[in-house]
Amino acid sequence: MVTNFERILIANRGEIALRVARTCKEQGIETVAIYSEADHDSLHVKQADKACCVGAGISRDSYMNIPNIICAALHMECDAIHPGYGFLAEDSRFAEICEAHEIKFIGPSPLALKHAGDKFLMRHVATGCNVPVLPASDGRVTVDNANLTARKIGYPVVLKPRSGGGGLGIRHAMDEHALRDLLIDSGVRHSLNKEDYFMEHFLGRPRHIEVQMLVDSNKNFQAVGLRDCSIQRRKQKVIEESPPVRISKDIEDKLIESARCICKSSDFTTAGTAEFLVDGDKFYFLELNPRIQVEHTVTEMLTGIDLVWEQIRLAGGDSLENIISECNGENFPGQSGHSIQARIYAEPPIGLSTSTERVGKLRLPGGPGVRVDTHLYPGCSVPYIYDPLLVKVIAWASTRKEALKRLRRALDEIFIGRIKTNLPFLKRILGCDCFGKGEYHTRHAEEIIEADQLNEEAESKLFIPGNDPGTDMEPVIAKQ
Amino acid sequence: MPERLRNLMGLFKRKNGFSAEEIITMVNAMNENKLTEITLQERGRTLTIKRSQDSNNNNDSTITVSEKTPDTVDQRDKTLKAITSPAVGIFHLSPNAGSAHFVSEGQVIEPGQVVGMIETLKVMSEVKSDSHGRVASIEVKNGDMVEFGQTLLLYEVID
Repeated sequence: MVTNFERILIANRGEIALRVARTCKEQGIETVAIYSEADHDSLHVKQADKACCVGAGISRDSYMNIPNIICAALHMECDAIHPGYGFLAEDSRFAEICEAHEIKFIGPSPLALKHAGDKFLMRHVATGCNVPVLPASDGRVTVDNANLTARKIGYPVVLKPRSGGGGLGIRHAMDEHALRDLLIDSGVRHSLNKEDYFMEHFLGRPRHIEVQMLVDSNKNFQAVGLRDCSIQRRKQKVIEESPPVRISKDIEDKLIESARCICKSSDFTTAGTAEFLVDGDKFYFLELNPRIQVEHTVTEMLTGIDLVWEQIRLAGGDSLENIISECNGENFPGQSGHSIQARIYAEPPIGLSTSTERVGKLRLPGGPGVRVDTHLYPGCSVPYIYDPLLVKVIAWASTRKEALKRLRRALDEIFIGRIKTNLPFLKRILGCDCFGKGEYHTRHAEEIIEADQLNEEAESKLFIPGNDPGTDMEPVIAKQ
Repeated sequence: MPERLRNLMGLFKRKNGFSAEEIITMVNAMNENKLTEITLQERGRTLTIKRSQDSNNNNDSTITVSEKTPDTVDQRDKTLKAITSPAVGIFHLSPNAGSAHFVSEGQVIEPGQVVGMIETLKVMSEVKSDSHGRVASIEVKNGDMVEFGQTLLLYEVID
């Protein structure tokens, strides 16, 4: 069966909107871009076949404005909507409204989105599959029962909102004192009273390992490799690699089997990710991401599979059998070598987080084994009100060691004029011994930064002169 | 200059566009130099006139006059202000089919006066004027789809 979508509306912006548009273009599907007033000169608007402005700058008025987006899709005769990641990608109500207007939502069913969005319910789904989860509260945690619950499950603990995620509403407490301090914070008290929170034990230095999944409408499941996303900063992934190093075949198989059962029990279909924490030879289910992820590119580099296209096909009702027979057949997913991705983020100066900066000069890397996904071009606007992701650089080589060399070389080639970025931080992490050896965990990046801040000398190394944040002057390298 | 074209020019009452004289001059220049297309571009306004290709030798050939909308209203006549669409939807010039239009060109509008409606997923939202003025032109046809921020009508401010 061939996907019969003729025109897809891409309900997103930035690099992912461009990513989806590229696949559509290759497959002969027309695209409609939506954009906010802040994004009129954005590359995703220029690359699409048609475009529609759906609202003012702030996301809730534009990229999350359901009536305007649905209306644009109807009048511009789109038969499907690709939500990308973030914004409306995990909104079951949006998926329902799409369904009601006979527009295909490229993602799982509204019911599966509801399940995946309920973190507490998903713990029960995992338990039902005999998949380990971290100790947690039996139900809703309140200001009154928090202390007792924490003692029962063991410190350190984390307070998590039952629905919603992204690491924004999550609060940690290392011990009893920290929890007491949290509970006298009026903001925390307000959240606990208003929202449904639960408490979970948390691990100090686990690894974040995830399974890329493809699932068809008949619940046939296929894993497309694993990724290690342990290098994080402020709860955000910054460096991802595939395959993960130092993961035994036994753990790998268990993670895949767990993902398979959790998908089946939660009605998940299309493309998504099951996230786990791995601590030594133990592992715990974290959550199910029912969407394409930022780091899908790492798997694409490793396997050559176009995950966005397979996601579109699965949403259109195509079978996994067809997909597998067309991509590498028996050897599916057919991965080889190693790939590593670095995410370059804008770091807007404090107090300017709602302003817009314009990119000056721009030099992007290339060469063998390097893929660059970005919506930047010289002179384009970078509105700081949105996700600060600017460029994804993915390096592939036949071994991890070579892939790492390649990524470091590629990052050295980059210059993004006038925008302060996390490039010095990325170079610092990729240059450290632990990363080279593949010995790292989710606290690793922050521990390095903390240690550097204690050491002023290292601090000055982190910000190389001539690579001043925010300048449009390229660094001059003395040559002999 | 054919009489027909001169009459047509009479339709150009807008303050912001090109005058009939300017367009006629351009058409004459095209005829004299046997040009098939001419574009006049100035700050804030662009005019392209094209002769249809399949009728080169016909004196009565079709001439297409297209005027590109400038990016911002500021670049047009400084005295004209725009009322823009607050949503994505279908633009309605009257409350229901067959009834009188909310406003017409040349009409005086008051602050808070409804000038049109936008239908988004069967929900109607009123578009209101926020100042006192005279309607210079209605920029969207009744029943057309509009995007957010699209200019619906232009008006002269009356102090």
